[in-house]
Amino acid sequence: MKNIYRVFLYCCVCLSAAGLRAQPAWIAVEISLRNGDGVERIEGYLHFDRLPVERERTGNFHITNLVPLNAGEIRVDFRDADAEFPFVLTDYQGEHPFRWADGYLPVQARRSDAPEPGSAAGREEDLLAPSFGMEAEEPEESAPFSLEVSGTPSVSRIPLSSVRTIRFTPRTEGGFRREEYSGRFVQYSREAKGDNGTVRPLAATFFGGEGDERFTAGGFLADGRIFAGGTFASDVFDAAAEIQVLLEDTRHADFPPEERTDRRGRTRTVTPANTPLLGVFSPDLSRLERLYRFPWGSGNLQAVLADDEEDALYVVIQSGAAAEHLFGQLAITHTVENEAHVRQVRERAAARNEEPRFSNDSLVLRFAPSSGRIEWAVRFKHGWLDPVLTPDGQMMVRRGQELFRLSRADGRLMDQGSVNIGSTHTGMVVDPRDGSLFFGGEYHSHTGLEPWRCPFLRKFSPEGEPVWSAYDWTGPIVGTQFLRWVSDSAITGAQMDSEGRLLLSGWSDGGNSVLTRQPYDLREGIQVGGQAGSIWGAGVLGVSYLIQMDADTMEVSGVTRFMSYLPTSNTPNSVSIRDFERLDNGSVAITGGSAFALIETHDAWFEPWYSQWRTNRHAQARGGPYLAVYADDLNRLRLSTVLPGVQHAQLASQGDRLLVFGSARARNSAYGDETPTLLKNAVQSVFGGGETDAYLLLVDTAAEPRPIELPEKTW
Amino acid sequence: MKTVRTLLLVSLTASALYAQSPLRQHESAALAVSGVYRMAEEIRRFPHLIVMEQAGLRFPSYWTGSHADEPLTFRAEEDLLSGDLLITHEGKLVLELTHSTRKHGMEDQLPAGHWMQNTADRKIRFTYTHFENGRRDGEERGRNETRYRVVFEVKGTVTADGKETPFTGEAAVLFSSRVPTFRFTSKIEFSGAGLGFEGVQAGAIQAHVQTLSPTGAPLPPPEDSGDMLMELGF
Repeated sequence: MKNIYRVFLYCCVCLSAAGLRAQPAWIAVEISLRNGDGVERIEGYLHFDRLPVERERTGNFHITNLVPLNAGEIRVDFRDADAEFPFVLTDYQGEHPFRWADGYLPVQARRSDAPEPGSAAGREEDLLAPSFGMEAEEPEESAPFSLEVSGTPSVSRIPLSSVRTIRFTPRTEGGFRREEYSGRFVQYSREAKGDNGTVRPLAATFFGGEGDERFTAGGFLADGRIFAGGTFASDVFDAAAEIQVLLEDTRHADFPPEERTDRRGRTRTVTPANTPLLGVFSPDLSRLERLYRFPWGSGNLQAVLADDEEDALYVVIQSGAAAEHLFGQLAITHTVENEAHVRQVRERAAARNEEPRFSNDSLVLRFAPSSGRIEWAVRFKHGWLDPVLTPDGQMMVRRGQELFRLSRADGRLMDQGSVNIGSTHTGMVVDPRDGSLFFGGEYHSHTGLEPWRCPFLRKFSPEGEPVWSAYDWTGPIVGTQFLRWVSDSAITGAQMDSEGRLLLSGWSDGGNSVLTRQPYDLREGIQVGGQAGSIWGAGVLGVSYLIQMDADTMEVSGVTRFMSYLPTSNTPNSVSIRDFERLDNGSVAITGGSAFALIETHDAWFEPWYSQWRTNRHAQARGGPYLAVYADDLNRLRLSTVLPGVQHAQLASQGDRLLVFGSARARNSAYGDETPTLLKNAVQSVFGGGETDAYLLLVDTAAEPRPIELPEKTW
Repeated sequence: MKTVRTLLLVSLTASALYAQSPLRQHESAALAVSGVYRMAEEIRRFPHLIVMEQAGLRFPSYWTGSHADEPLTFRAEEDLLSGDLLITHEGKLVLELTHSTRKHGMEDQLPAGHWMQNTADRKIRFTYTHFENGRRDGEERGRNETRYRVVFEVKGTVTADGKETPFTGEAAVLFSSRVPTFRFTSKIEFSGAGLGFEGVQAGAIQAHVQTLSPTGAPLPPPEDSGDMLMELGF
């Protein structure tokens, strides 16, 4: 009896799941189309996932967005035969011009009213398109075709060239149905009042030409000016400032793009002309004051650190094709050899009977942004560098497991040591109180038990001696029967403040994460907060965390989760945190990407869903790049807004000012939203071309309040 | 009349004896508790979890591993004097600690912290040799099974790196009525000094032990479990 019950339950579950998975991909329609010299009107069902269209803008029309509440509220009409996009789809978001791609539309016709060819009735019905009249230029006659009309589920194909109008109609007996938004998405959107507009953009600008440009470094100088830098392969753009080439330049033509194939046969294009480019902007981002470039082929910009007090930037470059030219031009203070690397590479090459290939050298140099003077340079052989400024007024550079302490004044090597750390997501983070070092990341647990991805955070003394390890649970500890915290997890970012508080960002693929427990005792849970932090009902997804930890005791005092929520199924959806920044006023800004249905505050910079919804019942939720700012309690959202078009965003702050730097497209391309990228008082207001331009956005996080008035609800 | 009186007396006696039969009170529990377990047959690779705490150290340490190949038998039968369930055992429960967390730099900050290095090579074993004064301590009713809880006073030894120290404590064992398995939890204490630890780590260590048994083989019911009426010849 028990077994029969189990089989019955199993069948029910399977059938339900099958029903959910096999939600029919058809939509009820009324189509008018030319057939020979007449017009035929059919009712039936269209079978497709996306309409085969070509548009000026990206994205096409998915079946789920074409179901109306009432017949005819979503329709396709033929408008203008001369236009590049002669058809228009009208939906609850407006009109969208397009043209049909070549091909056919699969339709299951249930009824067809086809007048006799050449009859007047047929011609009159051809006046369905408003712009098409007897005087207007007629579209070409389509070749006659026969359409099978049948009550049985057989599908015909209509040539797209013959389609004139499509009226989408709702159906209740099957097919896709438009669902109303409900659940946590609506609830949290209603509750996310924001902070009366006190977080506002001050300025935003493109920076780039026809290539794909991006700022990978940015921040504030001691005097408040803004610096930004990146690796550029071209300097052809309307920069509104003269480019000052540092050192003797090379010829750009000597470094043409190359195709390279790796061992697996994958080909990619590399640009040996890559070189660091640094810009200095006015404090309000309204002017570009200085623009510096290294010689072509100098390499990639790794990092730029700003001195707190002096007019100085510490620039780290991984050398490129013109390395020897660059080193020859600089007055190298000293060179740090890497004999271990040389030995290892030679041994490996000999074993494989290959030529040895050493890692590129790196440079650390001190640069005066006001004068463009390079004050000193230290060359590190064969290695990628991880630099920090230390509280004793010097700087620390890590190359692999080696630590080097350099004098900020003259680049002199003061001390060196080692730290037992492998790969890390956070890089080296220094405690400004005593110079202790923190590294966070993930490792993979080869125990055969979940989780595979395990987080760690390790503290070292300034000399590189281990002090403590947080998390660092391996598979057999959390994967056993007794501790099922089996979600893959990682520490993705770390920052210290001057009071000994560590702020970490984390990730997991589900709710059973060790990040919700104390990092030293899995038996102790932590209450997880956050205004959009509920996770019940989640499947496998990307979950983001902010974790507040005591840097001395590793005690976690709070965990904040930030989620999005699918508005028709009321299930959590993914959000990633790419970067975060704690401001002097205690607020914490985060940026990254959100899957569909970001919770926007009422004072978001682009009319948020909740405001639109009050007058448009079918307003569509948003996702994609975002910027959010938490209050200092890390619970209340002061701001959550989409950042249309922005990519690879990183953050820096000074006082109440927040800088967003990275790259941006000309407009958004997330979930059908095509809002142009935000620009304000822009140094460069025109998109330069390519996939992206470099992008800067300056934000005031302590602006005067502007109470937000939501529109009256009209339905 | 005499015959009727005799029959009445016998039937009342038999009924009383039947009602008081300890096998009827503890029959199901005894069947669930009694079993032979070859602990190494546990298919889970890491069936146990041990968390150690120590006064003077802020953080606990976590350990896991497998069972040694030692048979363990529990047998439950009626105590004719008290009517209670009498539980005995044969064999040992031996837990091998082979894995721990990687808390770099914290060897002096965790109980037995130095064991985190080369854990498997140290041959760390928790050996339960004595399960004493076992008594039934309630039950949990599930949908398809009942789990009988039995508590013991336990003794044993902790060995590592060739050193040995005794432990004492308590254990609660949850026996399943459906399948011969048990879930074991225990709290024991032993001396760190006995294992060669120094400083704060030489003090008393409290270990919270949890493990799961493999499926065992049930033992037959006790011999004197027959029907009293049958034994009286009725």
